[in-house]
Amino acid sequence: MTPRGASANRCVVVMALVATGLCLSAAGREILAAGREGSAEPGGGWAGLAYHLRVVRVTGASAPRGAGLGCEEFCGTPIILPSEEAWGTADQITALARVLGGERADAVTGFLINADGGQEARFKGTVYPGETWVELRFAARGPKHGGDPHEIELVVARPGAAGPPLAEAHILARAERTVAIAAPSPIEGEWIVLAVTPMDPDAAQLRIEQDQKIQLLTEEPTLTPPTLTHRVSPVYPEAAKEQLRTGRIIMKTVIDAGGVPRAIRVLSVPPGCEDLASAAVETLQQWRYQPATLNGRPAPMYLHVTINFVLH
Amino acid sequence: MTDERTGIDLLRRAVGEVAASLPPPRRARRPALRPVAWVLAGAAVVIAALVIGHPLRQEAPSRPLVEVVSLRIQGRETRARIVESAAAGSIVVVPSRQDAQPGKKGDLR
Repeated sequence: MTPRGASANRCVVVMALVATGLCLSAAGREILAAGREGSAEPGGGWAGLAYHLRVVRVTGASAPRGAGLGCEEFCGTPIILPSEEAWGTADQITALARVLGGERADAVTGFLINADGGQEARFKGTVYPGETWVELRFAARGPKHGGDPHEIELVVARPGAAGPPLAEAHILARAERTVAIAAPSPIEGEWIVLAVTPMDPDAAQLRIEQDQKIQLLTEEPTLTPPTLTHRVSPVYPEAAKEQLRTGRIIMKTVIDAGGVPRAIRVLSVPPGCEDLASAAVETLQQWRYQPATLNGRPAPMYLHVTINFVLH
Repeated sequence: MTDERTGIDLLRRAVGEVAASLPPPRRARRPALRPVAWVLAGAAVVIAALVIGHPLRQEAPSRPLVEVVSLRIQGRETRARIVESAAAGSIVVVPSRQDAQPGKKGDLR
């Protein structure tokens, strides 16, 4: 074989190797993609489907205006977050208020839903902004195949009120993408934002573990519990007074390191006494505490608070 | 001598005619490529064409991150206004401007 012929042969072999390499690379990516798609359960749903729900109250006021949240059905694993974390950073939550033309936004709390490996996740709860209460409904169906979107339905409604819901949306969203609907609140000039993020189940588990660390603090022997330093009396709702309704409202809150009750959850409401729950939330938001201390340093801590509405 | 010369000339002409009638002499062939090299070259061309022509699903940018199928505000089908800002870090679906509550603080501006 002449040197020229050998050179041609080498050139052809190099071309073949390059093309084969390209082909293997492409095939590898296809296989990886197929592998991701193949992680779906045979039944169509993904194991450990998880969603992170948040409620944000957007107001025209400059002072903080929080709210409480109760869960009636399909509560999943609840996770309590300090105010700013429920949406993002303080700047991000302010940006949300600006988007809606409000002055400030206060996150209520967060709920994490695990669908126990099923195809669907549901949540039904009530938000108590202080003067009224609003029902929240969430339903989601996980992707049947990798790359498919999550189907999410969000409803914000006034319970018992005639007419259609305040807002309802059907949204398709990719994993880890936060979507939210802004519903006009029954309180004039305010918005209730219901947000949901389809989460990676491992990330969801991590958030639950972080939450449990705060829960465990209450068992620390060196912990000094928070003490109430500023108390205002609850305002008895007029309608409840006229109807001679009484009741005990049990709430769970995080007293943050500054002594402010955050992320109020309404755990128990007598039937038909949502106005009492709303008044209780309004009251608790105005209370201030000497924060808990752990080894001499202020620390957030969970606290159960009961407000009894009685008529004399 | 003359006869000899004539004979030689005749012979030369005859040889020349015979030579002219023959096909032109073939140049020496270059060594051919090995068959395996041709097979590899053909495979390379086919594979390259497949790689170039086959769109990878991973790189297809056509799927939207969020799609609003429907949005109803107080029962009215409403055009969604999707706000996706880096500052908000999320997507917020709000009613379009004409569907926002007019004259209220929460009205969209």
